[in-house]
Amino acid sequence: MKIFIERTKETKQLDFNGTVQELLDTLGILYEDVLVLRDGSLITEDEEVSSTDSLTLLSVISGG
Amino acid sequence: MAHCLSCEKKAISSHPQLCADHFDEFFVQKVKDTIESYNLFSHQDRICVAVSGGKDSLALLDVLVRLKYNVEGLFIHEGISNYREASEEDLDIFIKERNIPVRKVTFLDEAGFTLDAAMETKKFHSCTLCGTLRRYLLNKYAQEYDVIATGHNLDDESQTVLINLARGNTNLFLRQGVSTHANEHFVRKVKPFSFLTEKQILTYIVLRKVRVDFAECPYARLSYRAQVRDLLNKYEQDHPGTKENVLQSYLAFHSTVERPEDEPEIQTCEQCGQAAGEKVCKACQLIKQVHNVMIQE
Repeated sequence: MKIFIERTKETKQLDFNGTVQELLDTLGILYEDVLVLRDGSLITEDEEVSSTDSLTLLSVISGG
Repeated sequence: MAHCLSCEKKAISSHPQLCADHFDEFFVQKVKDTIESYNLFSHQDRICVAVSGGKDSLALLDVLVRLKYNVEGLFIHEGISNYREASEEDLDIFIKERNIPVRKVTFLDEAGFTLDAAMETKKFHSCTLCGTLRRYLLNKYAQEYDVIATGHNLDDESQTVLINLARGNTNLFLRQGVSTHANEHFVRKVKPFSFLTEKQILTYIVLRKVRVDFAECPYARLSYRAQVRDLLNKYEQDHPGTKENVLQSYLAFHSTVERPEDEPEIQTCEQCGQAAGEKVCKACQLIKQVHNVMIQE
């Protein structure tokens, strides 16, 4: 699985199968802090994601 | 996979659990309800939207234009390198596409220094200095408008309730609200996004395909607000509705409290002619202090 974290412009490769919520728990990220996109479309925390997916995490936190 | 509570389509949001079309409907209706319930402004008013080029202010401009309000923007460049340039670029693209007039002012032109230069002295608190100058410039350049609209959202407002409580800022605590009181010195400020979370605003921005930069202000991490924000986000995840409960509880309490009669008399600043609580306004005092420190170094 390829995960692009917009806030830090960091790309992570991960072998993971499970829900978005489980993935974020693994990464130590609060679901409240991010939006999750798969192929450019928003997905919710109960959605199943797999190792072949390419995800983007957008930070909700305001610029200040 | 969760389904929209209003139709059979796939949900793209959990709070509320809605598909893209129904989320858009929910979002616009929430803004309309807030404007109407709190009498924030009418279609006859000239509205100055405080814009940074970030998601909150661009979403606000976008919704108000869709609702056919008479809006113009005011952009304040603080002089924070590697941060504000990107959001200014996003703003320029956005306003060009929609033909929205935006006035731009800078700390450098108005105060004679950038926020970065002032912070290099290590003598000032970033958010206090930045906030004071931004409020000052906003009021100064919005005098010709009926109202100033800001993109403050439910996260900002619930954080502010807790910050003022925790710090014992009783004066500030009593002044918070969806709309400030209008008077001869200050243009009324309103917050149409008071009941929408940052996450809902970003969802709207993504659905509307508006380009925004995701960089966080380099000084924001240092703030007390950032600590309260992280705490509230954890609570919201574990107990959805916490932020709205904090704000609604505050507003319910606020509506029962009379405004204090011993509020400081508003004077005219001897130096800039703007409204002031003392002979010289807070902004002019701070600008002088920064210049004094810079000269000494």
